[in-house]
Amino acid sequence: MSAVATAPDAGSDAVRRQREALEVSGWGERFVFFQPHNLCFWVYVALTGIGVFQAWSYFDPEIGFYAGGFAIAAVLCGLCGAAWFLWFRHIDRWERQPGGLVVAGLIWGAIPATFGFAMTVNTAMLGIYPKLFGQDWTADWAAGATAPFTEESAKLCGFILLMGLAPRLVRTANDGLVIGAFIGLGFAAFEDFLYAANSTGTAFGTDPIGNAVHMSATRIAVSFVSHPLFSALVCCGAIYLLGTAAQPRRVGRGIALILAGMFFHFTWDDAVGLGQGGAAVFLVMVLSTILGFTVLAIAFRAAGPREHQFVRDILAPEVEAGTLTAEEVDGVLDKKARKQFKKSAPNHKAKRACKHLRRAILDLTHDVADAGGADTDHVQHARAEVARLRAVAATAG
Amino acid sequence: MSITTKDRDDRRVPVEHRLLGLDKRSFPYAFFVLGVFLLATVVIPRINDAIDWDDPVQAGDQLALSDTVVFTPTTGWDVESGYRVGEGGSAVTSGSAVVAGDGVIFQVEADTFDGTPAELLDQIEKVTSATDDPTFKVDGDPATVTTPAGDVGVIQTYSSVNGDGVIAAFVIDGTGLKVTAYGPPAQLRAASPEIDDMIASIRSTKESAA
Repeated sequence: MSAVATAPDAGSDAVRRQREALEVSGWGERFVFFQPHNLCFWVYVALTGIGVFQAWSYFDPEIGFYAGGFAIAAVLCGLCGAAWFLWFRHIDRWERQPGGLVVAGLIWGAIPATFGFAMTVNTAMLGIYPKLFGQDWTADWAAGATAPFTEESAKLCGFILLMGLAPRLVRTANDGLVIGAFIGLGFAAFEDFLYAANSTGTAFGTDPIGNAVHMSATRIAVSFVSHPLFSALVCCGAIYLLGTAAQPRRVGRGIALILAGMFFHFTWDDAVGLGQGGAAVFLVMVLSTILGFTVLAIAFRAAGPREHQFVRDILAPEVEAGTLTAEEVDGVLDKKARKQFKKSAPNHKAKRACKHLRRAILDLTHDVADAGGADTDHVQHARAEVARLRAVAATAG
Repeated sequence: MSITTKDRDDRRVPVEHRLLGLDKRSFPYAFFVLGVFLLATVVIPRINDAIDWDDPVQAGDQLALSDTVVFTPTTGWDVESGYRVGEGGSAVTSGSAVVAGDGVIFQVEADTFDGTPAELLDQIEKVTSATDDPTFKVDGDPATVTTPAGDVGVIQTYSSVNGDGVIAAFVIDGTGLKVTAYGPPAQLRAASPEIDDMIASIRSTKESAA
């Protein structure tokens, strides 16, 4: 298609739709961490400080003796965390979460949630269970009767603080899924490191590096079902449960998602108890993986239409002006339209060009949102890119 | 959205939302988190402290340290951690054990070790003094301890700012055992027959099973 762009009328329906979408969605909003007027900022800083102190107290006695094991564990767990980080950034395609918000989520998961909250309360809970229910019950069930409550609430607290710090940025179910995943990733990476660091002392400290490598590898091998999955579901559920300007309250769905996140945490932690140590343990793990990712996919699908509508509204003036066609926008958002779009491309080169065009349209959406609907250099460049890639796609076809 | 809303964080909090310079709209989020934090780090640990151990060792109880190594804790002492032989109530059936009684903690850690009991004791001293407890110091030379089952280990007293005690090391069927007993000096002295009995009760079940 050849687009002949004409500037939309400032009072047009399309511009009004764009303005409302930007207002409700918070797309393009920047994240400011330093907010001395916001109590959430002070609570975040104080609890992170407590977490750092606790972490230092915990590792300080051993860090000198097991330096090699600690270093290799940090590198391996860090690389695994980095790989997951890149993947999460890749799938964060709608309202791309600002870097500062993502970092705040990661840090919360890594430091205050682990050392500020979880370590203390987990120790206490694991002390209470054997006193009440005996050693055998504790061996089978205590982990799963502790972490889904203590660790999920610790991570959720970070999400609640980020809602208080950036109420306009954290307000859709999709935000809950993505930011929850990042908080969970921070927790998982640090927990993996903690396990590997603790393993340096096994076998009476005779092979700290070997044990650290072995434990890191084990943790990495099972890292695909972990805190990011659980937290994504719990934080998404929290958005539905609380309701925001962009997400009407859906109490039932919110509670269901929170319980689902906790349930998968339980089945993962207590796989040994559920399977009674045999081959059934593996079966429990496989089933909870399949079920967990199915629920996650459903949650993403349910969160999609809201984000799609924001994209349509934000791009409405562009469609009106002729920069884009409604079909092109549908090709970005609608799975069916995208498949059809892809099918209509005659060869691999054309398919690739269509993919680039879709990405360029999303870039344009982000630039329009960042500019608050204004006509900036970035927006003009993004429009030119759309036109260029459209021409490439047409040539390839 | 406009430029002004983007800059809202730099502006003064509207007077109706202000308390001591803070934005009252942030309070529900912050207080929720503080509430969870206090519950997790103050209330639940206090509940744990308030509940006493009530899992006394019954006559005939044995604790499994590995698949093939067991010991007999003193009757009446509380099992704080460990797996009773033959109960089979959990998927995990053996591991380190902690029993407490008469003001003394008796702890056995089991893990793989390839060496002699004396080497294990050296390794424990080296690791403990370099990591968890820099004040950990064994006193004098180790003594040999031979259990009625014929297993030979080494035993030594130690001192630490965390309390004095005795430490023994055994290597049975490829499993290293670190045995520690500690508590206030008077209680430790009074409980020494029980401690000696528990150390002497450590045995391998391999031969009897064969």
